[in-house]
Amino acid sequence: MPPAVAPYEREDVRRATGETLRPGGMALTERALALCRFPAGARVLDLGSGTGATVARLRQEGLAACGLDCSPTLLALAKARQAPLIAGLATALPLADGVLDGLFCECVLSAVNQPEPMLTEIARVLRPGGCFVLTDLYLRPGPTAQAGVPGCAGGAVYQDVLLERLSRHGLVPLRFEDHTRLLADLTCRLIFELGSASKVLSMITGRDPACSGGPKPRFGYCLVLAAKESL
Amino acid sequence: MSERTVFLPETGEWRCSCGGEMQPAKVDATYLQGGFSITLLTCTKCGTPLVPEDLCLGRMYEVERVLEDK
Repeated sequence: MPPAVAPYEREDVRRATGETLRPGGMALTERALALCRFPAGARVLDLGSGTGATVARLRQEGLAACGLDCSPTLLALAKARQAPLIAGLATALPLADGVLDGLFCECVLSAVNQPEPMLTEIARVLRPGGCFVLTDLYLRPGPTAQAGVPGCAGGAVYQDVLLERLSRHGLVPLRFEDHTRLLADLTCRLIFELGSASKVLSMITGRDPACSGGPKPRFGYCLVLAAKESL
Repeated sequence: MSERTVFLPETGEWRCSCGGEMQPAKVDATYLQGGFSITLLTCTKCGTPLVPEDLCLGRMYEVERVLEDK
């Protein structure tokens, strides 16, 4: 059996998401930029940079931004941007301790199967007071919620679990905003591209909804800003 | 444009009830604050689009369910 193609590497998914490969496009990137107010020249990494859209935007803002991604497919697509992008793993960042003023992680954390070592690395490379920008899927409370779905949303957790996880790694949450409307909008686009809601759910959870049984998780989408703990 | 955003009836010669000819044209499908363009057979005279039954009972119905569930 050929290896499964990751959702973000699928052309039909890219048609629905646009170049950013996430709910809301650049909307939450712009929101985070306005809130963080990075000074010109600030050193910022986009972790899971995909096609390089965020890195290009950050550089436009005068920041010394670079990106890192593990997907050769996406890095190849990003080449045309001529932005500094490197191949690498989020669990072994090729950076010294405390060198970053900011780190963007947009719709990536819930898709990796090793969030804890990834957060350890994020906390390591941020300077004390450095800003961590996280946008991601999370699980909304409700009678139909359940944790532990597989697939690219497999790491989605409840809000309190997510914030506690950040705190435990020395990333102090400053702000949590719900932007589930952006997820609903993308879901509608994906339904039109893929043909049905069950195909969309199957794509993001990695299982056939018709065979899975039980209550379905209620996904939400959020923006979290956190600051690296000062010594 | 993606072929999957083009929704034309598979058979039949269609004419609008106003008498106008039907031609493929871009139509804005909107919901809440979102939306996107799809291509439907549309009346050249009054602008009324023809929404195929499978689109109405398929993708559009499912989008409505997602928005209601939100």
